[in-house]
Amino acid sequence: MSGRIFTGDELTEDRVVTCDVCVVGSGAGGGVLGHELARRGLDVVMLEEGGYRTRRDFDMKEATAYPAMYQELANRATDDLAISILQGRTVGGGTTVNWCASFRTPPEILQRWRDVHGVKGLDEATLAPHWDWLEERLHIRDWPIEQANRNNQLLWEGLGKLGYSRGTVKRNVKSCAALGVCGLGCPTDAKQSMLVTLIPDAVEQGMRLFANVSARRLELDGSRVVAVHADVLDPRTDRPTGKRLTVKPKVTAVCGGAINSPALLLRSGLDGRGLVGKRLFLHPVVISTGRFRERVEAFFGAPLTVYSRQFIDRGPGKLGWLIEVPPIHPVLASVTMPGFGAAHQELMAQLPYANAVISITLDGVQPGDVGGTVSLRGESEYSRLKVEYPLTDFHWEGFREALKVAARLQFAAGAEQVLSPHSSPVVMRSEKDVALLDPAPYAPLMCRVASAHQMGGCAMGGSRETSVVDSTLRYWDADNLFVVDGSVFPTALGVNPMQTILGVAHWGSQHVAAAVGGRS
Amino acid sequence: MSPPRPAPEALTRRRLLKRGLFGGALLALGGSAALATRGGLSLPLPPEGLQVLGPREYATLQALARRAFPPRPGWPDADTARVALTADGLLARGDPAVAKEVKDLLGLFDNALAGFLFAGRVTPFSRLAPEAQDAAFEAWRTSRLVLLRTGHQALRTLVYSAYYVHPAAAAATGYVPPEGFHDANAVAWKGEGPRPAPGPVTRKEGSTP
Ligand SMILES: Cc1cc2nc3c(=O)[nH]c(=O)nc-3n(C[C@H](O)[C@H](O)[C@H](O)COP(=O)(O)OP(=O)(O)OC[C@H]3O[C@@H](n4cnc5c(N)ncnc54)[C@H](O)[C@@H]3O)c2cc1C
Ligand code: SF4
Repeated sequence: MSGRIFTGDELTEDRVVTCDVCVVGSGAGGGVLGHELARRGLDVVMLEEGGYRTRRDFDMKEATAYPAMYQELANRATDDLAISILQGRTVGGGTTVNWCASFRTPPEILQRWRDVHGVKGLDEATLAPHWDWLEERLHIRDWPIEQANRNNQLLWEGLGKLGYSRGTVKRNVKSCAALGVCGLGCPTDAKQSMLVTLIPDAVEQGMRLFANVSARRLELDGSRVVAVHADVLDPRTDRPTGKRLTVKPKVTAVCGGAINSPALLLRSGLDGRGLVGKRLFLHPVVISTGRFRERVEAFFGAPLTVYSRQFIDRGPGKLGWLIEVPPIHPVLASVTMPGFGAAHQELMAQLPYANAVISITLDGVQPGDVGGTVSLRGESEYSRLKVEYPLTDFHWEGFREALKVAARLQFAAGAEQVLSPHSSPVVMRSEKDVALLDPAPYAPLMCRVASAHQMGGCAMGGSRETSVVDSTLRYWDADNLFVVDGSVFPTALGVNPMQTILGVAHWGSQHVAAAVGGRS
Repeated sequence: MSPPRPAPEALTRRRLLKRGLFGGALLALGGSAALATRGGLSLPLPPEGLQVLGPREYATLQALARRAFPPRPGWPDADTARVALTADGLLARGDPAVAKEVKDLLGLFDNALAGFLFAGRVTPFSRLAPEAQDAAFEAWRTSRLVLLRTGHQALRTLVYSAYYVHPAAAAATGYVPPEGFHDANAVAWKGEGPRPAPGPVTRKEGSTP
């Protein structure tokens, strides 16, 4: 049986469809889950509120990509705008726009989930065959240092000079031409995202995918979800067309990603005893911008291929971080770069000479670090969601130390100037200026913070008193409701999250499949 | 370790200035036509028309954009890049509630009474001399009120995003999309017929097999 991808413009009447499993969201979690269920012969309906954008749409321009493929046109942020949040919203979710870095989950994180959060049956050995399969299918391979772009090579050199640990990153790409535009959609289909791999595989096996369809509310009868009520959106305007799609599934899997999954549960009156939306982790990032004499052209070449976990564990009570470099394109650079007017233009004119080092902090693993919260601004099905993430002295200390390390790395690699992400930047011209970072202001909106990795909000755990889903990813208080995406993580990871989400979804699909037959 | 402590409160008269309460009142002030008695800048409206912004909000944003993008050889200026019009289009694509907040914010930003309360000036932002405009916007960045810093961030992000999506502005920074890779006619497979083969790739250094 062949399935079909439908888009909003084809859904001109209200429709009711029945199926075995309704998968809400088509990203890393939903894409794998839909595939695994369709492969088992189950009737799967997948809903995706973003559009069906393919390589014909990927023109490598930020003007096209952000409004069409990111949550809130790439302007999602915490309520006070202190942390900007990049998150995918398109068929394939984050996997369509992410930077391809692929890491297995660090073993110590899985141990923590077991020992501190009571998660059962999810260890390295259990996940290994799932990752093996994914690595084969998604062509996850090492990207050797010789093929790194200058942006990554500078990080490699800086790490080497300072004697810090360093490694190359695996990427899910095939015949990658190193164009550098992964964040804008891959125009050659080289990126092995859900969009070009498991989603089409699943459609070939019978899955029906409805793009431009936003799940607004789950309807419950007692402890069972009996319907998913969704709005059809106009692909051109992204506004509801007034048509509704109602899915009546045996089992529902919410895969909208951290932030949107908790929001959907909350809109449906499912608050998990007050735990839904809590423990949101963002891997908060601070960016250090270096200017070099040579052209770096960080907008070209495979974007993220070198990393260091030298500072991931700074001991109890301290925020650790992962070091990487991002691609640098004009729009994102412009909002990140400090200054205004001619001074800002001058920085932008130097873009080809810029290198940026990102320090991705590992949140949720220190006692008392409970992260942020997703909530709703009102009661209605259409109320906007609200993200809050209090930044405390604990975070600012980590950011300050991370910025010092980043600046040293950039000077070691030959930077002639390094700028901090403060709204009035600390300008450093040599190593000895790094001390200037100490007295700089560390407060919301005085120092820019960003996130491209959202996790948590529907935390998995060993007890219904402390978590939202159990160790089979099932919502504790409903029989046929699962959450399968990054929102189930009880902590952040300290590595880029895609492969962990893919692996957890591949492993978790057995539980979702079992629930269809009532054998949960 | 002791649990992370809340950030030190940036506001002094904390009870009075508590966000939400005071913030809501401030934004209402911005949106209130009665308080904005002193007229702001008025600019000819774009022939395409505006979808979200009103004429005064449009002019305020464009006034800010002119300060953000002073003339520079090889770069489009704010009027050439039509920053406020592009911003209007971006706001129209997003959540209407966000557009409403941005409109209120622009109202507040240009509001003479708000200017007086915060900075003791009675001229709307859009009618200030260029240097005074820079100082007014800078004052929001460095304000002790998180709300004004948030407002600064929102307006700044809007003008920068709206400017740098202009192809000439992006090109001025040195970024030009690689040619020969994008195929606007590629088939978007929806499940009918055989799946198309992956796109043609021009191999170059750095490519994987
Ligand atoms: C710019 C960028 C770069 C990144 N780089 C990397 C990287 O290099 N390596 C890495 O490991 N990770 C990276 N990430 C993060 C990674 O892509 C995400 O962690 C991952 O995709 C999250 O998977 P998920 O299944 O939780 O959610 P997503 O992949 O976000 O998928 C959720 C999907 O559900 C849809 N949805 C939400 N709510 C609803 C609803 N109510 N109805 C219908 N549909 C809905 C959303 O539109 C979205 O498409 C990056 C992310 C970004 C944004
Ligand atoms: S770097 Fe490779 S995977 Fe990324 S967009 Fe370019 S060709 Fe595609």
